[in-house]
Amino acid sequence: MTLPLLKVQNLEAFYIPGMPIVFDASVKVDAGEFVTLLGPNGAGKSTFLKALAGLVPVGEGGICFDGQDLTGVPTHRIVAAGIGFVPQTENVFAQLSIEHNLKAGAHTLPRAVMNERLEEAYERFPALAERRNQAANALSGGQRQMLAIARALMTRPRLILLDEPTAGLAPLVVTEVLESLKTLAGSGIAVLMVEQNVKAALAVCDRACILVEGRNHSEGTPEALMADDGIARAFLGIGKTT
Amino acid sequence: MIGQALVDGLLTGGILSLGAIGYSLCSQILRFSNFAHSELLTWGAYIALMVVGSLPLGTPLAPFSFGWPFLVAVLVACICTGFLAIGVDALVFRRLRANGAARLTLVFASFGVALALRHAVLFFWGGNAQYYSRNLTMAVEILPGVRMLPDQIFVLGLTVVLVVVLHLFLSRSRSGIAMRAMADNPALSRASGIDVAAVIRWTWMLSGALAALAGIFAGLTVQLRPELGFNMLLAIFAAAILGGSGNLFGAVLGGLIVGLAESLSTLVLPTGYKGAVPFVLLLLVLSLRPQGLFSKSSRL
Amino acid sequence: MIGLISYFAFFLTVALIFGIVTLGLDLQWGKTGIFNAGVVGFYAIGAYGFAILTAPASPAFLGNFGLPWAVGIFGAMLISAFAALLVGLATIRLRDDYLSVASFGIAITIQLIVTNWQPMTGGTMGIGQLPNPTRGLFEVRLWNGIAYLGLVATVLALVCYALARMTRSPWGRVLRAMREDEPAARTLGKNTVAFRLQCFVIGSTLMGLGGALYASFTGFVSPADFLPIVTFLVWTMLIVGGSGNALGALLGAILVWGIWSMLGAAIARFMPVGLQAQAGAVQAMFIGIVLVLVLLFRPRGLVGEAPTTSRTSR
Repeated sequence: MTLPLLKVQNLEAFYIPGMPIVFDASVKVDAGEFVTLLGPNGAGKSTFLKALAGLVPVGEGGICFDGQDLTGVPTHRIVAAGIGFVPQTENVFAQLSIEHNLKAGAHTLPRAVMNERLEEAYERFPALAERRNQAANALSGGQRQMLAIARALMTRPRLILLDEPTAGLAPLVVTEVLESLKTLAGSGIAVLMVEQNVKAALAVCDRACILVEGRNHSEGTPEALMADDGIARAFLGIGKTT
Repeated sequence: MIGQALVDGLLTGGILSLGAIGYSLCSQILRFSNFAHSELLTWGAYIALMVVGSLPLGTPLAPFSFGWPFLVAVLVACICTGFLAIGVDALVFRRLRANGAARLTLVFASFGVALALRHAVLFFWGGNAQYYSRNLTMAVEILPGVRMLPDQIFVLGLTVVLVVVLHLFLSRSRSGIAMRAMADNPALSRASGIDVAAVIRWTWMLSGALAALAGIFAGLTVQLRPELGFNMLLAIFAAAILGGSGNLFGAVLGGLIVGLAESLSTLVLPTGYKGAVPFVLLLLVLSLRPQGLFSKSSRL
Repeated sequence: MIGLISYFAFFLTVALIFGIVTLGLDLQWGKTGIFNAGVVGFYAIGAYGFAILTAPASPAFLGNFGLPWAVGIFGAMLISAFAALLVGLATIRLRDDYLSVASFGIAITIQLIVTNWQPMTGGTMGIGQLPNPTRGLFEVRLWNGIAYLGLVATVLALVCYALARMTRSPWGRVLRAMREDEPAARTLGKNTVAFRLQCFVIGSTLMGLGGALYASFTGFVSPADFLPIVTFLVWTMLIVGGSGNALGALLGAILVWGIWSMLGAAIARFMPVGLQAQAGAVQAMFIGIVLVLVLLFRPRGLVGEAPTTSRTSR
């Protein structure tokens, strides 16, 4: 059995010391797997993701990525280790051009490599190529999300973390974004995303973990979860309410 | 008359721009108004004075009033002031940031730092006016009725070159882009893998060097006094706020506008009131377009 | 003995005047978290306002309306209030440090006007012959001094009483709510911006009152009494005394004014003439360092800055 790419065990995370938001959460993600974190509001899903990215202090527990212990490591080293992060809000450099946004994502790379990755990004997202010198705040919601993802991909991460990538987007755009994430996963990049749009997420992901009040509740494939009546009704918004 | 006032205004404006660019970079990245920034100008000027004083007296490079020792002093002062800025951040601001201090706490601390730095200059060098050199130079008539000293032409020319170099740096180099990213969105910069602590250090270094240049130019074209920087603080604030966030040219234009406004005001008001012009501009901008004249976003 | 009492009365008068100014600052910082970086500006406006209104008319001066003392005092307060309103209206809705920058700007501007507008302010010479209701009240000079001290103390008591009433009123309760949790206060329909502006204006008015009392006390105004260092001095008084209560502000004012006066006297006495500027610099540096150290090592000591977390936590 191959080792998982990401293995998080019994993580505790907090903004204010002594007041944890995430109490004891464990998640594993294999290479190329598309995993969604679901759960009610306040479950600590976003906080969990931020802790993985090194943006929120971690108490107990451990984060192991590709054999490396990344617990408590500063964000720029986590990114260098191969993890990319796309926050939910303010996830592009609004006043910078698209090209500068991408370059900012790649600024640790040598110039030749950066230019290579730039071309890759424009191939993957042609809409961005057309507008490369426009300021990011002139983009539509969907285009901005594409830019945010493209920026995170500049360092060729093996795992990309996304916090509610479809928040505030029109339904057609939601499908577009999630499909592109599925394509990414297909190309070998593992995806771990937090999502509130349960139906859309279950349609594309390989596996889902449900967090409740900072702890694991259940996990499984979309089919398995939807088949479980109790879970389907409580968390997935499916099934009759009697 | 007006021609001379315009040229004088450009000169003042150029010096202000250098101060405003450095201030603006820091304030956008660190998100607070740093009252101690102007003291970096003073320290830069006086460090250069100290270096000039300790080097053997060179022959002036005609037609300027200064010689090679001055140029060496400029370089040394820029580097030292950069380190001074980094040092102050490490001792004071970084610690407060690490404890999650509110913005006004940082402002307050900068107020205290400014007081200490300004009076340290007074303590070490005394309060009398000082000069880089006693050499007199001939003014050149560059346009009918408009005269400039060669030193002033040097300052203006060098300022233009610096602005161009800075623009290239901020738009082409990776460190420059990282700085602009930090100025735009520090949280996202961190999440993108930018080494935030390193960028902050480089920003202070650059900011300190620019401040040193501004102070030295002011000392060269006017005189050195411990209040050199303090007297420019309000104008620098006004220039930076006028210019708005987002790009280098905002601060440059802000500096030029404030400098020109100050200079042109002397055509209608007694020169003593010049220092109030930045305040008027500041109130106007804050009332009408607080994000600045040249900002593309509405963020303050 | 009489000299000692006289000096003490003089010292205490100035200390209590600064106490009033510090109370004004406390209203701004302690109650609504406004950092006023131009305290000396409002203080000067009060002093010069009083001077221009009450000095005896003279051909050299545009102002000098020779009005009665009480008119001068109230007029000074009004002018300070107006200046604060001007600055406040422009900046109160913006980032909080923009208000600081603007208040700093007004202090600089006032200093420039005061030094340059000779027909109105007397320039560097200032304006003299300002009325003092206690001058000539008694035959013995000492009693006049003590009478003025009594006057200032009375004004101070009135100010404290007024502030205490305001704090206990519904208005004061809204302020406290704002300090605890401003967004919550806003959702309850309270116009927090208006409250902050009111505090800023009232605080600045008190500073102007202090300035006017000082001008009346010394009998003249000149730019030398209104240098930037005064702003730092008042801030130090607030911090040392502890903001948030009147007694703290007063104790701070007396203590800091005492230390500052002693330092000044020691420098004048013991330092050779050539080094006096240097020694003065050390005095000011010391204050700057003290301010920074307090911030670094007694962060809770400055009231009203770190938000307290809600008491209902798991």
